[in-house]
Amino acid sequence: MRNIKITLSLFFTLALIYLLNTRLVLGSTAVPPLGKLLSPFHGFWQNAENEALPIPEELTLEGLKAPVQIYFDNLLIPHIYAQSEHDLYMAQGYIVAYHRLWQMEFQLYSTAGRISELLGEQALDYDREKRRSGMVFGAKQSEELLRKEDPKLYALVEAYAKGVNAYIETLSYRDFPIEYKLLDYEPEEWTAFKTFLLLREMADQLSRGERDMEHTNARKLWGDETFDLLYPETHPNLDPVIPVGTKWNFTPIQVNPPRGDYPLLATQGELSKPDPHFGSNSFIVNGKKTANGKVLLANEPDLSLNLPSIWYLAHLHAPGINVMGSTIPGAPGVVLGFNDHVAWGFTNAKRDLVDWFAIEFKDKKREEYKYDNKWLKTSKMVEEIKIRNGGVFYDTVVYTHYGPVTYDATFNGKKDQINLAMRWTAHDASMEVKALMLMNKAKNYEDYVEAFSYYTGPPQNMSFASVDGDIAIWINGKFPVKWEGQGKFILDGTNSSHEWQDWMPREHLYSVKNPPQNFLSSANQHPGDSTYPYYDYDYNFEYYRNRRINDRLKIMNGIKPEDMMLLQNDNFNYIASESLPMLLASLDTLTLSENERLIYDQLAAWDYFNEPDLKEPTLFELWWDITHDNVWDEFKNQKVSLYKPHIYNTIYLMNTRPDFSFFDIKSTTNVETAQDVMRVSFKKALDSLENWKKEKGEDYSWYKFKNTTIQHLLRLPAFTKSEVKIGGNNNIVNAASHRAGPSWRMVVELGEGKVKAWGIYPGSQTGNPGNPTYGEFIDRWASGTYEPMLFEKEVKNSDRIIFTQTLSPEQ
Amino acid sequence: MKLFLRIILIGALTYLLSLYFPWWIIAVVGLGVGLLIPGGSLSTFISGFLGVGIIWMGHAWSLDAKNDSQFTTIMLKVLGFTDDPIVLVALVGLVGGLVGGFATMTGSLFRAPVTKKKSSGYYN
Repeated sequence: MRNIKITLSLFFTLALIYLLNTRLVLGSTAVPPLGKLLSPFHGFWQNAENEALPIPEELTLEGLKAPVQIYFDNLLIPHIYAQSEHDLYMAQGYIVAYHRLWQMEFQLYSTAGRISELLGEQALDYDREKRRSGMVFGAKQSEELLRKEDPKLYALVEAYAKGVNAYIETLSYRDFPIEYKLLDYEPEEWTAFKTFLLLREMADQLSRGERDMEHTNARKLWGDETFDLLYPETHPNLDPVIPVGTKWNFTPIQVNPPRGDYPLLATQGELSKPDPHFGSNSFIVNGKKTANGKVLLANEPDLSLNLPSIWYLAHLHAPGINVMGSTIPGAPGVVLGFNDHVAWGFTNAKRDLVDWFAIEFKDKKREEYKYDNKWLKTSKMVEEIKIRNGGVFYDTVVYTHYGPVTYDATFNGKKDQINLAMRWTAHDASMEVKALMLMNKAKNYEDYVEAFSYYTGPPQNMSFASVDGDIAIWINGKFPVKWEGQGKFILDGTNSSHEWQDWMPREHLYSVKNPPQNFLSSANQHPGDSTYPYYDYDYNFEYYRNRRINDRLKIMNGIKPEDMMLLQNDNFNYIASESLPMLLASLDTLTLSENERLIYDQLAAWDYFNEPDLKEPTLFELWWDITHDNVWDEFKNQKVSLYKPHIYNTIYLMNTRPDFSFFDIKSTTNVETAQDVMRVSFKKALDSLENWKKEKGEDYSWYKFKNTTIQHLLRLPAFTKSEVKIGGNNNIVNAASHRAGPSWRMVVELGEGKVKAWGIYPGSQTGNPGNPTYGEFIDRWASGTYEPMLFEKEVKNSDRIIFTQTLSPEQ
Repeated sequence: MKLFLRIILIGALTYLLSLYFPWWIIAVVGLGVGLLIPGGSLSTFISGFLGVGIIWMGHAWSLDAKNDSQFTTIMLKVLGFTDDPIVLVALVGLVGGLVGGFATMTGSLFRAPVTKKKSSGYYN
């Protein structure tokens, strides 16, 4: 009896502890370990912070060479003052980890295809695709290259990792960021390799918009003539990055034209794509256009709106370096910013840099593939994907000399039994780290040109301005020389003439310095006019933001920093200005109902500005979206993967070819024209609005309808800010759409030996939802308010410094 | 008296040791105190339940008050079963209390005589 009682009682106690210490998966919901999570001494209560910076004033950091001072200003931006670059980057790693450890690690899991380790089976396909895109492969090559070519610089990347690890070592469960507790796992050691891998993610986000498969499918379905109508490469009267008329003084490299046609393969599987609403704006004006004769540079990358934010602001100071701006948590140095002499900004330079080669294997073993009249050997890499509560999944990825067979008959190509190898510049070794580190110290135009000679990708339009008064743009990256049309469709992997043959020399890249127009801008549009002697195709250039920015800059004079800010927040809807008159003209006003007439009048009086409180942008958006859907209804229910033509081209076709066969709505017996489609869509838009109102409420103001959401990386609504009151949209300069938008707005003024800057981003320095400052900049960002950046040689005497931390080496 | 002694001892040890050990230290505390001051099953359970439960609940309540319930309110949305911070504070007490109670009872049982002795009441 006694033994039974003891056994029972002991068993019950242990079982209770086990259950409360374990993450339980009940059906489709996972319950975090409640004992750990709820314990007031260990659990989430410990993540609640009552002040912005609950940290000690003095700390010992093993590995430092000399003491480092970190001054936090009122925005919680750390101003790191170190006596050597080693200490500088080590302290940067430490402090970024303090604010953003979970984010940097989670993003790394995502890039490395390791999400299944945290979330289980549901993430397996995501992980497989990530692994198959070969980013780890590319990162390893890059790490090796830098270690060999520039060991001193490599040591600085290691110093950063050392700083991150020094922070991780101070943590016990109670100090873990809340996300670790919810998902029940622990931080891992940071390594230099992880930094290289994270930088590959940039390439994945920004240079992966290719449509080779969709194009091949469309060509197969509709033929070349219709294809060219649906997806023209260019249009008249574009406003490219490099001003029209810029001269090219070099003899281009020629490549041999291809033999044979593209393989006409119908692919049904899809590859994940980055959000097509990603983009960026940058504009620079020289002293002739500004009020005080100084140079002004503005930049904002329009990326995923996340919490914690993509960017972390920092000011880095050591002998030979004094730089400030936005950093990527996980990478040393500043990515977009300014120093005592120069400022620089990026916008994505779209260019088709991923090509797909159809592979013909000799047999099922996939050990050899055809190349001209030879059989080449493949190599195989076995990816080991750990699955939470589910063992290990082994995925064999076949590598050809092109790259990994990402799309293959065992995975996404199962239905169509097609194997496609991926050729991507991001698989090659590169030295972005070196480029950025050199730029952090650049003093003038020559240094800027030199720094980015080490940059390969993702290609960027790199804006430059200096205290000397120079303005410039280089479109930097590593570009293959392509024959006309190369890479637009799936290429023939058995045909050597389809392969990339050569690289463009650096001096042949697009660049412009101090143009006579006195300003420069870039907004992801076409890079240059037709006189450029290389094929520079991409399927998704911007047609609107660029024109709005240039329209404004052409007429603006006596420009002040505030004018640059206003332009960054400009809500002019260029699409509406070019399509609403056509939409309105399609209606027969005599037959409209009373309510329809009211809406008609409202829209007719609208000035095309997508201000957050207006209702017209909502009405236009609904009408336009439904029109666009109805125009391209032929794309619905197709078995193969396709994408709809660009808005710009849609409007162009509606204007120029109103009887184009695609305007016929398939589900009706009549033959419709563009005008009919617009008219039918108007009624549907009003129905759709009524449905929206029933679900969401009467107030359909633009910001409510658009619902700009700064989403936590785990998509937890409680850690997310939605319905942010901001105007704009994609294709508008203020590019805040539902889930993407200006992730860091920066304006810099340079001249007379001085640099002043302003900035804001939708988030907060802290990544902790339990910190009182979590998400604190979001409202200021939404209203177009900027914070002056505290950037001086000696910041310690500024009254904006609210806390000073000293990191000391071990005695 | 033993009951109160156990409660005070368990409470004090829970508070001190939780600062240095993982959350399940409460089970070790309960087990130890149960071994040290054995008693009837109900009595030992209650001492563990109250000793740990009061400390957990009290500490959670005090952290919540200092933080103006700001983070608790956010976490309630994540956990999704109530929107009242006090309910969560009470739940914390319950979870800690259950583990403490069973552990203390288990500890005491190890010390119980082989032959069954008639219990003289709850408060011994």
